[in-house]
Amino acid sequence: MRTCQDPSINSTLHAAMNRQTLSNGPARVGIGGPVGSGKTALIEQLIPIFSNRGNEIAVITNDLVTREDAKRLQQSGLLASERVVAVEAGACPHTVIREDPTLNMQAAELLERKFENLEVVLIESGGDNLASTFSLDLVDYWMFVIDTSEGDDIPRKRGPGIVQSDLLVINKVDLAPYVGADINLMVKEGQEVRDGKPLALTNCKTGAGIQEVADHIINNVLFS
Amino acid sequence: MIQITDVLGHSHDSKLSSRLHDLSHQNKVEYIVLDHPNLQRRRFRVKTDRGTDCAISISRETRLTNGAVLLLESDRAIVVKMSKDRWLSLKPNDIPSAIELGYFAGNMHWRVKFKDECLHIALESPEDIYLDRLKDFFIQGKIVRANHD
Ligand SMILES: Nc1nc2c(ncn2[C@@H]2O[C@H](COP(=O)(O)OP(=O)(O)OP(=O)(O)O)[C@@H](O)[C@H]2O)c(=O)[nH]1
Ligand SMILES: [Mg+2]
Repeated sequence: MRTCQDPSINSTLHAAMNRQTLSNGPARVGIGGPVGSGKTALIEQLIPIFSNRGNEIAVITNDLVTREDAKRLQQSGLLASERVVAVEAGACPHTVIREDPTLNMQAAELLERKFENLEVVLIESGGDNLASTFSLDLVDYWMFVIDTSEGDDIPRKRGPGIVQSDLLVINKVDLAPYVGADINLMVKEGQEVRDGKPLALTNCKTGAGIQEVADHIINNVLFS
Repeated sequence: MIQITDVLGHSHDSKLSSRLHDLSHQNKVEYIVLDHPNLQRRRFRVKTDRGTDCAISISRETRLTNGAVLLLESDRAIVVKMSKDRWLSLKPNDIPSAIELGYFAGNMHWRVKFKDECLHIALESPEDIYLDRLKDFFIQGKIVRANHD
């Protein structure tokens, strides 16, 4: 007999509730940050969390001139390959998430038309510098991913991505001891420049801290 | 949590204004105060000035404006109020400095306005972040702070 303990029922119920919640289309969540900080790795960790909750998900990747990240996600088996769309950003990755996000908006609209029960669209920006920010015309919520191996002085450099993002993710906490990065200092200085907005510590190799990142998304744009 | 999926209209709309007026006399109008950047959002979680938790998800074609009415019930209304912009006003000392300052502000993607020989920068993060970036302009005497208005 299937009871409410059955996770598949729970997730079906949840999905039905969410569909009610999610009038006016899916939530769009931006993930930006410097090259190699772990944006795709974070997405790979987030997908199962949303899938297990019964939230339908899709991903848009922005690479400079290739489709590497899209291919990697399509081959990961984490979600159907037609749920991953690549936007080629050309030379300036920040242009397509801020000054002229048309290409990304079109990609999101395409996914929304194709998957009518879609609840979350994750948009990965091409790796950029500390100045990149997302247009709030494109995304509802955005996070900026840095990692400990970039140096523990990154937060106090106060780039717009670090100051303005809804969530600052400090990834690769496992590498801190090897590069002499002081995580406590990064957290303290991150909090100082962010005016009370949250930050999270993650290890995308083990999944540590990822649930907290998901909870921020759930709380702020999925509302349940 | 109150879910809001539509903008009902503007507080000056004739259909809404008299009811809003009555509710405000009963102290039953709550405000969601947003600054300029946050006014662009379509889907977000926010508290009114009375602490009511709101989950907003309006359509992508809709825009929040100062005075947008989000809820109008017999015993409560919720209205958007735009917080006043804060400005950093700078007066360049000569034309070359003015050109350089304008170029720099554009490069930083700052929102600016020009008035009375000054460049006024809308502050969307703490002021010292802007002053930090402008340090060399001050040190080299290219600009001085001015009053806004
Ligand atoms: N040790 C460790 N390695 C990580 C972690 N997260 C990501 N990596 C590794 O860091 C490298 C870059 O990760 P990606 O996820 O490709 O980074 P990205 O930000 O998407 O990179 P671009 O899209 O090229 O800017 C990969 O080799 C990952 O396996 C982490 O938490 N710990
Ligand atoms: Mg990537």
